[in-house]
Amino acid sequence: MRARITFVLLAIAALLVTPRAALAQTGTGTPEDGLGYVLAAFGLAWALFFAYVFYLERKSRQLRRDLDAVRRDAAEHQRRA
Amino acid sequence: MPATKAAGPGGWRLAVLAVAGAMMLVNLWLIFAYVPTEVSMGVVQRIFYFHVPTVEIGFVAFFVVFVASIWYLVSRKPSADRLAQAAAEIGTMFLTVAIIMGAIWAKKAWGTWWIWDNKLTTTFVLWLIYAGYLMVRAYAPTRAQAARWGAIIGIISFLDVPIVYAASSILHPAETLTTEGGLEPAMRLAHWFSFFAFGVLFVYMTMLRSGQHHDEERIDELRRTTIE
Repeated sequence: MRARITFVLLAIAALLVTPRAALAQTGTGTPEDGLGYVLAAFGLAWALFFAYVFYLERKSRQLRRDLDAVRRDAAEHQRRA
Repeated sequence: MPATKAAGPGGWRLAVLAVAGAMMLVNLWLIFAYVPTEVSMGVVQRIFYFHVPTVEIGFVAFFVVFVASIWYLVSRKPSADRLAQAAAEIGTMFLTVAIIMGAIWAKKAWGTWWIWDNKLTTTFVLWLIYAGYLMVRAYAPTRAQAARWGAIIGIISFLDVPIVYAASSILHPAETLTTEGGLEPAMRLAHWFSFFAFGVLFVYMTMLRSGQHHDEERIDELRRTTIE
């Protein structure tokens, strides 16, 4: 869990820092020259992917619990029969 | 009690996720610190290093749906159906991200979020087709019917992908990645690296989702057996 949180924090830091590096690297762009659009596009894409991966991981854990419970019920049912 | 194998906390799954995460960080560095800024569009052109690969991975996903659907109709293997369903879901997700990023880019480049040209319209139709595919599956009365209908729609739906590709070739994304007629090596590297990074993410998500479908089937099966 701690590793995942670290990964998310690192990713957010990279997301915030790298567009500024891009502007510093070139002489053609200024913050008014589309950086807001770039941040919005990458931010939304990352947010969607993170949210979806988080949702999938949570669903997996839930399914695993459900499957174990159903297996226990089935075993109990068989024992009684 | 044995743990589920497909969607369990398998080391392989976390390893693939870790590789995808690491590749994404390198990808960001390539996009924002390595690649030169495109002359005519400036910094906003960097959106294309995410936008184009997500579209391409969407196409790859729909090709997987196409192949897995044929495989299912030929062999009737549930694993083929699970793969098709998972790839369709993830492909639609990738295409959604691509459309949103494209709209943001268009607002800056064209001054509007959307235009009904060949490329955008056929891409939107493709998105609708796969959204329809997922809805048909969701509302099918039984799993067997969902699999059979899904396989047929999965094969027919893929016919739109070459149409989107042909429409794109009229206004190809590569135009916006080039400077003076040729794709710069640094830009080409960033594009392909991004493609493979999203490819690894696609593999991770598809395997995970396919495993979940397997678990759902097992749960239904066990419940049915217990009731009977």
